[in-house]
Amino acid sequence: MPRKFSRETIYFIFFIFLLLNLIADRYTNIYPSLVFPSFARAPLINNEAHYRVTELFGVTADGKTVKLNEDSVFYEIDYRYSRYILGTILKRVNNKKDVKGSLYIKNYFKTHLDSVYNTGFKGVFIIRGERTYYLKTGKLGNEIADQHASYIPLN
Amino acid sequence: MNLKIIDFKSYYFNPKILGLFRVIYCINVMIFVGLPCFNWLGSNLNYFFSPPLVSLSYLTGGFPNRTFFVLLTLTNVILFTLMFLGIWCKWTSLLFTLVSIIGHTFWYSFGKIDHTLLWIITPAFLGLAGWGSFFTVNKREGKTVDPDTSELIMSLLALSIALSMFTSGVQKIQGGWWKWGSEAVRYNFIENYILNDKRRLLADFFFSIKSHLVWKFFDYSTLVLEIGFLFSAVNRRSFQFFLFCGVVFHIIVLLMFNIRFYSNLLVYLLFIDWPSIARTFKITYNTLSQKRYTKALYVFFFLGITLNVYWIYSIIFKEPVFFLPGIIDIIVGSTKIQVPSDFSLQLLFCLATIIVVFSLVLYLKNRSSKRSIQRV
Repeated sequence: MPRKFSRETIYFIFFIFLLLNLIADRYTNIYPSLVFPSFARAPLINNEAHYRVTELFGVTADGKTVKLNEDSVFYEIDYRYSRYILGTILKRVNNKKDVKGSLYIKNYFKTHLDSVYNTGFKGVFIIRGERTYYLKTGKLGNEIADQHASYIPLN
Repeated sequence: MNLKIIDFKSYYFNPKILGLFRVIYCINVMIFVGLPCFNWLGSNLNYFFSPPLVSLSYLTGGFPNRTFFVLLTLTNVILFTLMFLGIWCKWTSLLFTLVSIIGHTFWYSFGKIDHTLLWIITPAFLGLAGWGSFFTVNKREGKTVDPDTSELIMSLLALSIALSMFTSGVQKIQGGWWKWGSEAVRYNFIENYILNDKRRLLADFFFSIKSHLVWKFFDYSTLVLEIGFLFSAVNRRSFQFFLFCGVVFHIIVLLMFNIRFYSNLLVYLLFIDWPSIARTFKITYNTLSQKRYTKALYVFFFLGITLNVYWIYSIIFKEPVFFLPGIIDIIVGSTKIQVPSDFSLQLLFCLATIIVVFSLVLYLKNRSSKRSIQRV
């Protein structure tokens, strides 16, 4: 089959298209995209390393705070996204106008926590912040620094 | 424009090899991976809808209802079956890629994109390159694509693989992997080990390594591999070398990070040195004919159709799952899986290791025989 363009031209155009994809991906996420995961963060780690975390905690009837396993709570969704789903909830939950959404997420947590933990929770906390790992002692710090938290009452 | 630096001729694949690879690719998917199943998605998850900024899923403004995803999964399985059997192969391969991308567009609308695109786009490239011309269920040898076009398509697939690795390398450079004071691999490894609790295989061993030199070796070798990939794609021989290193890299990533980039392994196999393998097993392109292997081929087709019928039955009558299980997962009973099971993918990696070692032995053997011929 005769081609309008030479192989070299087609190759070059395809190459430029992929490069533009790479450049565009720097500013926004695209799917489908051939830009691969980078694991790009490379901070200088002398004695400690800091990591961004998003975690889910439940508040029991007697006021205790318990760390919840988000993979189990969002069991009907691909577990690799549970941390990102917490991020989405954090963004949406503070929107006071989203009454329908607030009701949905309250019911979602109620039914899912009941089926996973079989314990009544008064509410849940979603906390985003930074945890520190101490290289010398080989231990992860308990505190979450630089916190951004949201409380969702379930009653 | 005349870019002579691209050696298109080196990307010539005999159409029989492409046909054989189609069968091998589909068998690998059916044995080790299975097919993605989209019917766990649905409009009940709309609260969590958070697609990337550029995504087809904005066209629907949320997750469509579950029926849409059931139909999408069924279509995907049927297209895969037709592609495996070599029926209307060019079109079924292209449509398989398209339908898979549409499904994954919604799958990746929870705030994170996963990077399994390579094994999904490969059928589109190879469908155009003529992988449906041989080893098909209808026994007829189909029209082959002219070598010029086929070489171009194969070189574009190689470029796609190379550039995807390159993109990862570029981002690492921007992130500061090259700085002597940072230990990027170690930083990401600790996150995986401590926070994500991925401690299987050799993770404990790597966790015990404290030497800055060793960690910098990992950093720099990763950078050289990922950046170098792009330049290697100009010629199939150099590309093969980088693919060899790429497989070793993915095996180390599995052992250290417990992350399974199975998607790439399925595709890398295409670029193995087929002529050397054929010579080793005394197979010529004349003897590599459908007639000669009809019985074996039909056994595979029968098993494939049986599995695909089981998948269709599961989609319609069983609870939603994330993956339609491959044969190994069915045998070991891991049928409710979110991703292909560890066991199944570790077997795939074992197979990849065997192939890598075999390729190395073959390369060294060929090299030494070439030298002895030169001496004579």
